[in-house]
Amino acid sequence: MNMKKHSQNNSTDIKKTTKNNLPTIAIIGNPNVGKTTLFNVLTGSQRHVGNWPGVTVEKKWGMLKHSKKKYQVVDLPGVYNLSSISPEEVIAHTYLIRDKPAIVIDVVDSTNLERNLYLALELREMGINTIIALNMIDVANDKRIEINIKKLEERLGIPLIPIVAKTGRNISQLINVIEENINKKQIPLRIKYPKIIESKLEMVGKKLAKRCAASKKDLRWLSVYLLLGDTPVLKAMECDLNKLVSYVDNENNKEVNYIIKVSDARYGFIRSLIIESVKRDIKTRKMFSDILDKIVLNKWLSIPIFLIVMYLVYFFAFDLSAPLGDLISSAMDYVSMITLQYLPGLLGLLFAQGIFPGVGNVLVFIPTIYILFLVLGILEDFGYMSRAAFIADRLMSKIGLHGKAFISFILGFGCNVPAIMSTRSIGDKNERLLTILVNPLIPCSARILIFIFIASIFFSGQMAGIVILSLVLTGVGLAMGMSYLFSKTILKKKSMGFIIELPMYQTPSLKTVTLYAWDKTKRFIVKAGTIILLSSIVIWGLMVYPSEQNSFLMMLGKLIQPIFAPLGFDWKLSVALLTGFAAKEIVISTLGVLFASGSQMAISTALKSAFPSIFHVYGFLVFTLVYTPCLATVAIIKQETGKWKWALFTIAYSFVLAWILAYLVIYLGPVVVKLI
Amino acid sequence: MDYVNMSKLHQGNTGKIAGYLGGTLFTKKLIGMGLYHGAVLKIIKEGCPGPWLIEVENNFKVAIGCSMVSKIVIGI
Repeated sequence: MNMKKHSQNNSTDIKKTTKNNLPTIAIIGNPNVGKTTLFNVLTGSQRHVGNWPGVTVEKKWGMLKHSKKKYQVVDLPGVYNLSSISPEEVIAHTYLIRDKPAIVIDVVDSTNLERNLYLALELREMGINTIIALNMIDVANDKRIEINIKKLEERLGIPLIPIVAKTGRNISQLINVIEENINKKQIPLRIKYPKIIESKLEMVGKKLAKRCAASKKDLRWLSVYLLLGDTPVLKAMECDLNKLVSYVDNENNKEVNYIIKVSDARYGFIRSLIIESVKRDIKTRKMFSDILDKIVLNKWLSIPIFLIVMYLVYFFAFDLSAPLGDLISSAMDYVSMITLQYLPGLLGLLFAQGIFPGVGNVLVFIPTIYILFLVLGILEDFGYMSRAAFIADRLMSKIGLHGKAFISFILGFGCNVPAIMSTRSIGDKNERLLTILVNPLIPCSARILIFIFIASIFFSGQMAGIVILSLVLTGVGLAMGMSYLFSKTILKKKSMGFIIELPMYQTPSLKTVTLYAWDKTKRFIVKAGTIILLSSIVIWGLMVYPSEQNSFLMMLGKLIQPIFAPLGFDWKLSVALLTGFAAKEIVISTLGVLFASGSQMAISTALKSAFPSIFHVYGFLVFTLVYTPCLATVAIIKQETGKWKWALFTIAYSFVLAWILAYLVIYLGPVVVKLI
Repeated sequence: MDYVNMSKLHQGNTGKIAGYLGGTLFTKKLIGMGLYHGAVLKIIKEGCPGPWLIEVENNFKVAIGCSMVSKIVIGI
């Protein structure tokens, strides 16, 4: 491995994040151990959600008030260890080193001590002031696992508190222990490594001493990380890495052996702890989880169950939230109407036709996004999401996507905005970006409405249905095809591979899932909402000024008409497509305004005369299916990728692809039909 | 003890992790997730095509993609 390259790939500029002088409690732990549940219990409503600086990894922080004292609580990303493979790990160790929290709570799954204690051991080796919260102790009891807490405390040299975060059991005891141990100095735990490692550590330690402003107690664990090639850890300590990296680079071929030797020693230590302090019923009775997995992951049942769950997610997120969305939309229409009556002139128009519909464009998404994330939160907390990823991975991996991308594909049929937001559950950055970039090709409900509107005018009953179905399938096929293409070209970086833990099923925590859904909704309102609102107002301005009959948007439509001329689309069709950028539904209303001022019959007659042939109609539909995503989707792509670059790339590639496909349909379609 | 590539195992087979063939990051990732050197695995569901489902140390379940499975050496 090239360490320099590795260091660059993983370097994340995580600056010191503590903004006040309150003592900080950092919560750390493996994924799915109840870390966030504990964070919610400790902080209640006094919490904030944002991103860690420079990355799109979620950061949660809040306030704990106890007996007139205040503490800042930071929920670190879920990590299995403190190496430097993922951005989450880099964030965790950089935060621990730079921000120096007053105390760290390592949340440990009581039913899986062996693996969970690996992280605890790393924290102890670093001499970080840590206490262990043995979460899910009730489940451990159910599994007949007896833990001798005193013995474990003695060997690890830190307090252990058995808790059940979900029910709040022993939380007050945990807070008391936090208060007793805050800012306590810990002596680093010294693991005895094999001779070869110890001699290397001594050598590396001497070199480090000259290049790191580290204390003597830090030199040992720093040497371990350097030997294992975890240079971002040393970067966080502001060590001069130049010569050190080249020194360790020379030892490249031995690195894997070092990793195995170091982990053998650590797991050996953990095993000795387990033998001394944990009693397990060898004939562990079959847990509910195992029985349920027999059904959920069954060869024949897994896919039908998966499809039913996906349908339910879709139903709750879109069908159930639709009346609420309609209610918001009607309310905004009513407010606009009232405003127009009582606030005459330009200001009235601005509010009634610009600001309120703009606000409505944001608010209308809120029920969908809240309900969607509530359902996804329940599934995640229950333990089904990782099973869904496992089931879908077989298909999705063929096109370079993660199993969880399937969920965003399904949601895309409703609306691409929440679908793109749902990709947050995909851990691999590359696979997540890939899913985001191709999701707009999945036809959302607004585009399906356009298909229905136009197909019903140009095709007879059954044929209209076939046309709509062919467009939907084309969208899915394109999403898969483009994903394959991107994974082989611009997003070629090979992912490490699919690996995911299937946690035990558990009853979802209502507080955790409601807060999770609210956090996501709030982020949408603050981040994407502002962009959507401002852009809606700008587009409204372009649509009504200087006059509705001859607006800037129409002028723009006429200006760009030459681009559409080879496709046979006149300026009216070009303007309709242009307005679709605000929201796809607007394409229909624009066609209505531009082609007729009367009944449905008049619109259909006028539209029929606008298309030279039936191939031009299908070409127009294909163009609508593929071209530039709507404003809200572009805003959400920017929010989720953190870069305008990807939002603009999506606009560009989808437009070019739409143009080419429409051209092929219009000019090759007749040839193919003749051949058939 | 015989050493085989994990992809050669079948449903119900057990074995111990004896080596990693995927490089440093791969090794670190697996060790961190509890698939450490010497950990006992049981194949619950064969993959290829599709991910494999394994139980580690009779305690927790992990799904591993086909490309990763072929980089794990198992002692049986």
